[in-house]
Amino acid sequence: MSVLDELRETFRQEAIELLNELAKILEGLRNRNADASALVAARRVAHNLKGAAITVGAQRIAGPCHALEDEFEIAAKTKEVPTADQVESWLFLVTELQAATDDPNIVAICFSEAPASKSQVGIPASVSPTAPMSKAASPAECPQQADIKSASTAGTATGTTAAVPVGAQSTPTIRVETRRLDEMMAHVREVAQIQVLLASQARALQESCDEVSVASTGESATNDRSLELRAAVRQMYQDTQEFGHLVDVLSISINRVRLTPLSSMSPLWLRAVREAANRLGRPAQLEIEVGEAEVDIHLSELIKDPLLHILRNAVAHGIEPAEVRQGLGKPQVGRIRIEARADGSFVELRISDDGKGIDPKRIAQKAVERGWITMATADSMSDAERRALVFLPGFSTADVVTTIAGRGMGLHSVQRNLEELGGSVSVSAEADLGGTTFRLRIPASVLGVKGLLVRSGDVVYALPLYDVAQVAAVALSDLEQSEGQPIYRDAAGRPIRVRSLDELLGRPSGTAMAQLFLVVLRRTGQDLALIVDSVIGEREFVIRPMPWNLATIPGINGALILPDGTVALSLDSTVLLAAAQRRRVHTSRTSAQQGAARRKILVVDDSLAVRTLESQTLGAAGYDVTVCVDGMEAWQLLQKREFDLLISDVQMPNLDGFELTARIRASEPLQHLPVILVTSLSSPNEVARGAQVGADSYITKGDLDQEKLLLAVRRLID
Amino acid sequence: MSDVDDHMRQILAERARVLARRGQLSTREKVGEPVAVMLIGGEQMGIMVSYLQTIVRIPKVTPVPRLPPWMPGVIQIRGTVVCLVDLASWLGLTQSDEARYLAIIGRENQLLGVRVAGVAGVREIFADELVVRQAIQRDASELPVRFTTRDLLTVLDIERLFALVDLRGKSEPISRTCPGPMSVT
Repeated sequence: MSVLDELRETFRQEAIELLNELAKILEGLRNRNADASALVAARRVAHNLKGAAITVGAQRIAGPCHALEDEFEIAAKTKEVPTADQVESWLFLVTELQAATDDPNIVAICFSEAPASKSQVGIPASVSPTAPMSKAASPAECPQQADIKSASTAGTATGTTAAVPVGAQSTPTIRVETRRLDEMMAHVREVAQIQVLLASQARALQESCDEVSVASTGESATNDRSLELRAAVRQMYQDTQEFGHLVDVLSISINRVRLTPLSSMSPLWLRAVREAANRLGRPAQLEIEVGEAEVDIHLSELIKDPLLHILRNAVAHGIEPAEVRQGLGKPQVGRIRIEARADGSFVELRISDDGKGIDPKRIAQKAVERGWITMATADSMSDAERRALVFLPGFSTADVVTTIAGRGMGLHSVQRNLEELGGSVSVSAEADLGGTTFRLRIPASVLGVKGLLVRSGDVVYALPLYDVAQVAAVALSDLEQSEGQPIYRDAAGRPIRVRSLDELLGRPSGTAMAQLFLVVLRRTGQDLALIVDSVIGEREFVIRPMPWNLATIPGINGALILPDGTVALSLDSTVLLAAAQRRRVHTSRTSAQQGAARRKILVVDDSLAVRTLESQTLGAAGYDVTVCVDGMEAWQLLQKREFDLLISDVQMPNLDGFELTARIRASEPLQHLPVILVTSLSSPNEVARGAQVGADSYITKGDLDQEKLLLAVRRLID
Repeated sequence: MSDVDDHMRQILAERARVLARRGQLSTREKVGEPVAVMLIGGEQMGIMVSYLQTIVRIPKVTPVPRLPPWMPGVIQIRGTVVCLVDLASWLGLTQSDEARYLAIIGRENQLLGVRVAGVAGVREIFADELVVRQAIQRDASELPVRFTTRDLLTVLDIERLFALVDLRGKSEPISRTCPGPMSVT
């Protein structure tokens, strides 16, 4: 089925729904179950159908809808219940339209240029029961049929779409609620789980048989039985493998059913660009080159708004006004292009324009002015990192709009929405049309993803493959140092900060090895090299939800079940990158301010004993320690902005540790300050609250010893 | 009166006493539904049978970052990932190394695995068995305990337990509000 056929079919389904709704309203009027106000609803439905028909170029359906809309509007103004004859005539027309939309061939011939007048509408010439639509619309009698056959295709914001394969064969279809598909998939998962267990048991049985065979007595009968048993077990093992293959095929088939072509969203995109162009007086033309790329039906709904947002932004802030473009020697009509290509289990969308583009240096300058980064950090950033700043929350302001083309307006929410889907958005370094290019990566399916399995400590983790840029084995001595942090240089010589996965997750880190395995994550212009113990390999798996009570553990976004039945944890690379970035920003700030000075730590606790223990421990380790006795005093001391770390009690007079941490996170100059909470409270709710207000680490006093305290401190600031 | 008669009279008197006692027993007030008696940290703890889903041997546990020490990690039961709770560790009791079982308890669609050393049986609890007991090394409000019986059976408050182990943020997801990782050391 061609893209155009898909479009027509999408429209046909929508038309069927709207006509059903309209028929229901009119039936209510006919049966006197509705009053004149129902005409307003009828007008809205007719208007919607007309709009959809115009959008896809089905002018011959748009005409009658327009006539119906007029009639409903006039009747509604009288505020009188329409006469029975009126209602009958409307219902007649609606019925004719329903008959037309039931037949894909008749719908097809409705795609043509708009007739000059109502009388030229192939389907009823007027809103009259004496002009049967199906007869007028039949292919044999349609006066414009020959022209329609030879019409050409166009697909721009300006508009018309034609090309009608009259008599094209249509594949019978049914509409299925996605809920039912989800149920089917849930059953398939259960079957897959059983298959994994069966395969595991069959393998164990085969091994046992082999051992028995080795230990056999040598008697002929026993040997025969042993051979039979081994053959049966081998066959069972093969069957379980075949069973697994069939489960995979079934899973893929169900996934395919959920896929819908991206091209079905074209009318929406065209309309968004057309409306924005008309409203702002910036002529723009949308080119759509999405081919046959498909995404999950659920995802197509979720990405709709982010895509429309970027398209409107392209018109509003990318494309210059016509007179400016003329002065720049550009064509008066701006170009916006959507391209799509399948990339493994992902679809990559590129949205480009030929407008003024984004200047990375000006973005970084804005971030410095706002105090988000230091000048030194800005200078050390790559252009990709600078461009990524447009996705920071609150980056967009009126000033930004006028000075850097307004990029950033709402982009944070676009990024957040896509990341929640497992996708990403970035500003591409190469502008395809000379202006700006946004690159969106969207998982084609919500059900299965490809990932890289790694082991760190006693846990297997899965990292989304689309975020893994490189896997490397390096010697510890090959890492460089920058601002006290280890740096890895990739093949292109780019410096990438290195962090231990365990440390980022707040788990005790193993002993440093001479040989390290690094997994380089790359997302939205940020890089991070994670140290792991080993790399297991690529796998395709289904992400399962974490237990209900652990659904919001930072950095963990799900779980998967390994073939041996154990659980691996799926990592949220966005959170890992953000955590590493936050520490980097803070480290760079303090380094810039203090050079090589000793790290300064503020300790606040209303217990003399705890204060003494902590300050002596930290002082002996070479830190410059300041102590105070309550949260309010700590808050005042922090205003000097000279501390690298805060170690705080939770229960304190005046201002408790939770509130103090929350204040710090809400304070622009202090928001990146690492905070360790030391408390006797260890209930889950207290721990959760600590995480919620933004504490980096939580040490219970019962467990407090010098080694643990220093380990936590070093993890955060050394 | 013969010895035999005396003997019969004694038997009948004893039977009457037993029957009288049975009558008293039948009028005792039951407290809630029967409980499954679990061995946890050297103590007997009761879990109402309606919450008990199954008892399984502990499979290999996957530790999860940022959990308190009494939450050892997660396992999977028939494809569902379940969080474990080590009540003995939480309550400051000494967990036996033989605590190799998990009592899977559930309500609605929420499951939890409680580490246990074994199951002693199922019993009814009567109102006249209840005693007030001080909390075990903890503030009582933090404990998921309904009550204790004279013979030192601690009956767990499962609803309270589910509330206490719920680490989800109260207002919005932690993953979006916590800017960096957090550890419980």
